[in-house]
Amino acid sequence: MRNDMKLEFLAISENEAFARVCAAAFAAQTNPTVDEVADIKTAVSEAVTNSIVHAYEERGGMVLLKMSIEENEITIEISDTGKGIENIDMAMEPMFTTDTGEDRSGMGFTVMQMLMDSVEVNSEVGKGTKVLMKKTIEG
Amino acid sequence: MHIRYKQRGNTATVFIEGELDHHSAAKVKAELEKIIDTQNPSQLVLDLEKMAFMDSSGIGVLLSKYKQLKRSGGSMYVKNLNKQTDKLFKISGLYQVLKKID
Repeated sequence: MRNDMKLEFLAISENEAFARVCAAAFAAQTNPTVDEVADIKTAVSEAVTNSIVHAYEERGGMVLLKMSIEENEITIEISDTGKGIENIDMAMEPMFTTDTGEDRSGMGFTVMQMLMDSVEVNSEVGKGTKVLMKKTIEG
Repeated sequence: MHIRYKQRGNTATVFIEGELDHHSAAKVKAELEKIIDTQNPSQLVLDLEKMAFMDSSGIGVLLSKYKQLKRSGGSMYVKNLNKQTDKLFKISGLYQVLKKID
């Protein structure tokens, strides 16, 4: 079975739950376990939050969520046209955050990597960021 | 997102219900701050039984309030985590500072 979806929404925090629920609903076609659904929801929430908080610095913009299913493999692509990431390796380090306060954990990419089979980040400063994640559903 | 608490002696138990993400983080942070400032508990227990979802924005909030409480000599614990939250705590190493109790 092959299926694709594309969803574009405003980069505001109200849409974090919307995005992860949509992702979970689409993924449900692969008959995932409750744990696999939770992994997908969390990973999507992390990537979308990054776009809202870091790419657009909470000033709005659009986030694009694309998903595809091929047999039991789910591909999730989350992209923005925000400010981009200067140093991707550094951004993906556990506990790294550009936040100067105490509120951000710097664990977003680490959580994505731990919950998904693969996470690939492409970014260009001033142009935006694309996060590509894959997960095989065992069911 | 709904937060309620009960105080017994020097221990405040805070029940966090709903979804803790970046959207609800500011509210949860403010509520925890208020409880710490007004009740001045030496022990704060977070009961997460009815917390349906949490991501790393939640880790940031809990860590920041843990640090606030620690500065005033208090300690923070967690209990009743669901499977997803337990996994997130393990991945992030949060159990190293927020100990789980029964």
